[in-house]
Amino acid sequence: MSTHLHLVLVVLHGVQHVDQLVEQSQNRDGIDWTLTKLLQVEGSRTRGLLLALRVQVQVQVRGICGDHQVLVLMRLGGHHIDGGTSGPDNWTRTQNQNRLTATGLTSAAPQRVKLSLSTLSLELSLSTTPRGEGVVTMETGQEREPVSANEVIWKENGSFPPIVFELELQSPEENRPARLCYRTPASSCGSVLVRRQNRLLCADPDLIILLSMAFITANWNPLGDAFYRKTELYEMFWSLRDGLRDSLVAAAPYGGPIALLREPLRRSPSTRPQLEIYSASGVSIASFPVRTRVQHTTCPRVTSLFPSPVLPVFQWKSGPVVHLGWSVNDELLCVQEDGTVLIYDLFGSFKRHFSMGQEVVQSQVLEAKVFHSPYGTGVAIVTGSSRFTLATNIEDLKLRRLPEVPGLQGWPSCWAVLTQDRQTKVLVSSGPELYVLDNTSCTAVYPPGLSPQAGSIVHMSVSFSYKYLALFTETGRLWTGLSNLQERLSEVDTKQAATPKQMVWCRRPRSQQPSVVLMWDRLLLVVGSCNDSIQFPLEDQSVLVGELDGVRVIGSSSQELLQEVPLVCQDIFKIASMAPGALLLEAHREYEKSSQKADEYLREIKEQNVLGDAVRQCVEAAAHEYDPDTQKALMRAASFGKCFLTEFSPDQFVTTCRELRVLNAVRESSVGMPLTHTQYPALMTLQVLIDRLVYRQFYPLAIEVCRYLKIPDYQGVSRVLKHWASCKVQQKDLTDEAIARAVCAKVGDSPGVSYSDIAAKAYECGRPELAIKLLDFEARSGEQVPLLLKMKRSQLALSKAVESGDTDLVYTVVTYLKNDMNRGDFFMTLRNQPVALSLYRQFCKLQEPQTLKDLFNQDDDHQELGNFYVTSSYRDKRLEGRLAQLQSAVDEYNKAKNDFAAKVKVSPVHQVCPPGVDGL
Amino acid sequence: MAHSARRDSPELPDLSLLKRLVRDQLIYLLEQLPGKKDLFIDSDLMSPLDRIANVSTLKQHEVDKLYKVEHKPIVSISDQYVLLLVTGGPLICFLIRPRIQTVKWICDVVNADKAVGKFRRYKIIFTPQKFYACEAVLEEQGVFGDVTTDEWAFYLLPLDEDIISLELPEFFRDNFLAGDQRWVRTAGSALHLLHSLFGPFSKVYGIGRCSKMTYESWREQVEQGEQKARHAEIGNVFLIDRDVDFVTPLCSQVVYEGLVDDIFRIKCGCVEFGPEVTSSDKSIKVMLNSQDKVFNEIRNEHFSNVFGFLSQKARNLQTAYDKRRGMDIQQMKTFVSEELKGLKQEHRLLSLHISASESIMKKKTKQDFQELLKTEHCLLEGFEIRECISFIEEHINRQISMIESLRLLCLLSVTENGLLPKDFKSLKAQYLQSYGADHLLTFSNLRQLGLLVEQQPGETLTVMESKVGKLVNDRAAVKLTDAFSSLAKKSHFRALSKKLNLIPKSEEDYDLRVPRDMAYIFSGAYIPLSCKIIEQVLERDGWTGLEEVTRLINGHEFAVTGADPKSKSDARRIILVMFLGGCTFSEISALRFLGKEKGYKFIVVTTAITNSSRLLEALLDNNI
Repeated sequence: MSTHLHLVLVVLHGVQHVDQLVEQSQNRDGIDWTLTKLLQVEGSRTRGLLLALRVQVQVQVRGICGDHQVLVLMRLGGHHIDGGTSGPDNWTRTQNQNRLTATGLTSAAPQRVKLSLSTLSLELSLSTTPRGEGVVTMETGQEREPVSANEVIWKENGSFPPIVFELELQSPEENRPARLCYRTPASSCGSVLVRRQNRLLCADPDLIILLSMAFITANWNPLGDAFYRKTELYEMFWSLRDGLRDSLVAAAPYGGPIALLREPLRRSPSTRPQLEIYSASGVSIASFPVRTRVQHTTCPRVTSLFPSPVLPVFQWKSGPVVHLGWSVNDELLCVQEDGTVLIYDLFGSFKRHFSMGQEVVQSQVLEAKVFHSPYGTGVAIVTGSSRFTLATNIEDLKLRRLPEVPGLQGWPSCWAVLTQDRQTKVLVSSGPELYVLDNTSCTAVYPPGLSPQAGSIVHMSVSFSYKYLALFTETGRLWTGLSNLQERLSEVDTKQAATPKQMVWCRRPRSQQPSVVLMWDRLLLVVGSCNDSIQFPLEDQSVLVGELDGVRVIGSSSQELLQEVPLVCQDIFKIASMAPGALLLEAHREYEKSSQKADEYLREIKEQNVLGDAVRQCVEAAAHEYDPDTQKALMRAASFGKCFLTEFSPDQFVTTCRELRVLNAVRESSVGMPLTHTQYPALMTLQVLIDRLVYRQFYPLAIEVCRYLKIPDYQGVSRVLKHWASCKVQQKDLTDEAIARAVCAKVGDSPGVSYSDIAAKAYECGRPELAIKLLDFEARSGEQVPLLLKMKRSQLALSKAVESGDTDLVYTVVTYLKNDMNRGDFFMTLRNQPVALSLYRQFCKLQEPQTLKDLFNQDDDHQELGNFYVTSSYRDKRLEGRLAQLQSAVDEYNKAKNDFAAKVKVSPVHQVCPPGVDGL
Repeated sequence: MAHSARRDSPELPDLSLLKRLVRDQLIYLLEQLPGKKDLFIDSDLMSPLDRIANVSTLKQHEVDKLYKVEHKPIVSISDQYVLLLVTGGPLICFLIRPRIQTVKWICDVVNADKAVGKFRRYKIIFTPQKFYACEAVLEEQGVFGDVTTDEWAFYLLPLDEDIISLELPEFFRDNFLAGDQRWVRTAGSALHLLHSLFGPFSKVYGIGRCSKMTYESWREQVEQGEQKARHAEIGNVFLIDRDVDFVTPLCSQVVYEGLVDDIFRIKCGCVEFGPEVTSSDKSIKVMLNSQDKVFNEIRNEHFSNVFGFLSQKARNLQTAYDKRRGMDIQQMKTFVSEELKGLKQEHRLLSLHISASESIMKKKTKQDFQELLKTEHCLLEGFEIRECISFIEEHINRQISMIESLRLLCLLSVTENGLLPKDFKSLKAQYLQSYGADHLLTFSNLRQLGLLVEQQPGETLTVMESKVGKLVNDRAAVKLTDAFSSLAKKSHFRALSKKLNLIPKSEEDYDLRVPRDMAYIFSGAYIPLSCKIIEQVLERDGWTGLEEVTRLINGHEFAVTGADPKSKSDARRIILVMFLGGCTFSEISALRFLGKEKGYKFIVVTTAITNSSRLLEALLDNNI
């Protein structure tokens, strides 16, 4: 019924003059070639034929079609399809999969891919330079035109069929890629689209979809039943002089930061290694040691090792570092050769240090690993004397020295940390043997089903969840199985003799085809348990980071995410897929074009009664896509489908929309947290995400996220503001006044933000004046008091307490003052605060009558003193005592010039005793 | 009451909710303490507790024995408390007001236990809240670790459908005499509780320092808590300090309920009639509230009407009984099953109130009550002060009643804005000789509170005096000074009474059966100042026009309009009046009257029900 052919040509970094290109493309108007027409086949229901040429390190040409499409392909192919050096013979058909794959291309040599379509032939000459820039030559017909490295020239006779060109080009002004897409007038709205710096100069929405659709399957690679894709996450912001060579690199999972230590082994004191911290997108966060911290000695031990402090900045001045790792709290752990572990925060400020044991100082650390377990972050080291030491949780440090490994001398060939049965163990390979070390014992183990001729194990890797284990033997065999070594999953011969530099599990929850990614110097190999494998050539030094649902490949210029394509995405985007979601997407696309075909597709879904599933599929697939345009297309399709449903809960749709917006925001390269939708709920709850944003000081974004997700203020916005304010008060370059004003303006009276907490922070930073200014904003005077007391502003504290009207608080301050001041000052202070004074008097009346007397004495309050003596005379049981007391009362009354009371008292005292004395 | 009420009086909110809340909380607290326990209760918490949860409820929650906390020191092992404690269960629970004295007593108990090596668990439940000072005492005495503490938020006890009491008699003395503001927060919390149950209030008025502080404390708590939008059941709130108006509680009450309180002392809405009323050996405890139909009709009546009313009632009752005659069996049956019980009940109450009234009559006529009232009225009006003083002197010298004499003295001083020095000296000397020198301290307290003060000679008149003094000789000057002093007698009270028309014109006859204004509660002699202020403020919707009055009272007035989105018009006419420092039954009667006149309903919240005796007893300082 309908057939689309998308031909996409990708040209990398080849062109410099945009204008020229635009001009050229304009010149190309008036070509009337529509492949669409050509491919219309009666009675078939072909959804699409895709020919994708992706030029990068690997070139692949692939056409996938359904059974009925083979006709079309045959018609094309019948004329001539040429796969360059690989030749037509390399087009293979795997069973059950209507898929043609061109394999056998290697990256190093220039590639030629030739396509011939009947009278027309298109030939591409591709060559790759070491930096991956491609030069493209296009040839049409019999003529051949050479091209220079800086421009793309195409020539065609009347029947050349480019539907879409996408050209990535380097504009000379900004060092940013711009994109030029070209579309022939054959399509309904042929136009020129220039995307520069993410701005559309001339947009055609249809085209964008078309482009992204085309790309979705373009980077899919089959592995067994599943597909693997490599998505580019970022072009790295950093510019590393020597790439990642000779560096210790540690990247935290969940899109965490990257730490880079250059030339860790150089020991000459003049040039020390440099430590730098980057965000996942390569934005520099800190270089170590940070300039301001130079004066502070990081720790006494370190300075004793290197006594001269006159070191240039930005250099590591502690001992040689063996290993870097990130803790779950985004703290950088640096394991030194002498067993000291230094902990830095994200911004390179030193936090604390601990040692892995005294004996390590002598024997030195050979290797170390930082691992994450349910108990937190742990550190494992192996020392020069081949002994292992473990610390399961660095927050609660308990060192465990593991038993000796029999026959192990020097470096173990490889080892890994396992967490099993709530125990942390070490799996170590020593020669041909494999041992499991736990607290008490060292047990020899044998991986089940490992062929005897495989040889000793030279590399091992544990999966993200500690459930699976991969072992690489010296003969190049890869064994995978459960990490408890009870079951084998597969054993594959990789045909690679060298030990891989890195080996990481790549799987996702409910994975169809878990795989292990192995990295050699110039090769990335994805090996599934089905003996199938995918090869990716590597241009430069890269680092693999195992994630929950894939592997991040960090190179010196870009970062990619390698992952298994989720089933739902496969269903939707697989060429010729008839899944409800795929049909819905197609229906929506037609609808956008105002085509009546939309109805046909929709009817088809509805006939099967799967529209609900279709919507769900689209929503789910959108969640798994990384590209916002694809997400949008899918969500629009879902929303379109939703209209035809009654009683369909919009919850999933709404939540996914929200989550995607948040995720897209944090993936932004300036923020640099490439979280996938699977990782987001797994460990990164919303709270954690906001905390991480706050920790990285992305306050506006964090606030926006809170507002957008309608998190209650006291949990969301207020918390962010609190952190912001706490950070703000530490800014040394601003005056107290300015900071106080800024804080007040921003924080205002947001609920749940306590100015006293902020003030406490200011006080900690040694700014008592600022603290007092901030305290003035605190509405609840009760909150101000504890800090004021701490700051020894007891007078102020007392008056604030009185102001609060909370007698308990007044009393707290009074008690504090009583213990803190000498009696005279204390009384004087009370005197100025009648409320506190009367409170204290009440207390004294019952508890400390003598103090009460002193209090009156201090004030020369003779009247009250007289009263006091009278009262206390009641308590005296002896008559003489009473008389003495009353006499004192008379004296006091006299002093108070209260003659009346004095006289009244004198006469009856001698005649009648006060009531109660009678019994004596 | 003969006066017909306005039809559109709004319905009062259901205050028994407060009771249920508090009971549930107490039960929850008791359930937190599993096992049998002995409960020690502060003596003045006994009757309020009884209104909340009776003994059987307590027993249901495994309270084994109940004891009263008495502040007797524990001297030796043979002491009865130790005996009790030795026999008592392993868990002892104290339910007390947060008073240092009580806490000290508990410390002694715990320490005594420790001394004999007995291990027990102690729980102190403070109500309505705990104070830091109490904990400090526990710490000081070294038992902080041995006891656990909790709070029972028992702030409000509804005594009747329109009276709520905090049952904090010490509020008055602590706050106004000792200047100790610890209870202000309690009052604020009580207001907060009412606000959260029946609010939001649309307008809050108040006068007095303590009121202002209470308001602020409440405001603070509202801001800290979360707000829920509800239907307001109480519209306006009026906060008033006791020290704004001392005159009213110092006057003899002549409304029935007030009289009963003056003579028999109503305790927590419950009165105990002694043998002279019950005409038997036993005394009877009677609940006095709106449930009691007879009482409900006479409580607000001037006493002179009560007899007439009661006899009318008796006649009605008789007619009701008489209906029996000439009934057939069926009618008789329904009569017995439906009416008879009610009639019997009414009968019993009627006879009780009649004998109570008789008893009141006896007491009041005996001591020349009319004379006393006349003196009071003279004092209020400021007539014939000399005669009044002689009456008071006689009263003192005949030693009629220590409190009564003191009351008259205070009334004299308050209405006259202080006594002349020579009067003051002589009256004070006579009083001390008559009732004992130990009242010296009482006088000091009264002076501090401004209830009984000496006019400072020439304080306000010095300038004038010195000018005049130069002109005339000494003798004349003395006279002149007297004259000026009498000028100065145009005291605050005088000025206020003139300003607010507190004293109705005495020429016309005041018909106490059909009262015209609130003055009927004092036999038409005086409109209570506190109630008059409330009336004026409500009428004017604020303090505008009352500037002079507030200046005389000495300020701290406020009127705040709260958030008022959609309160029912009914709610606007329900007014919560909070007396800080206590209020009298007469004032409540006056407010009920005012409500009927203007179509308001008042709910009175008070820290405690007070009267002249309670007010003055709180200020006595002759406790040994």
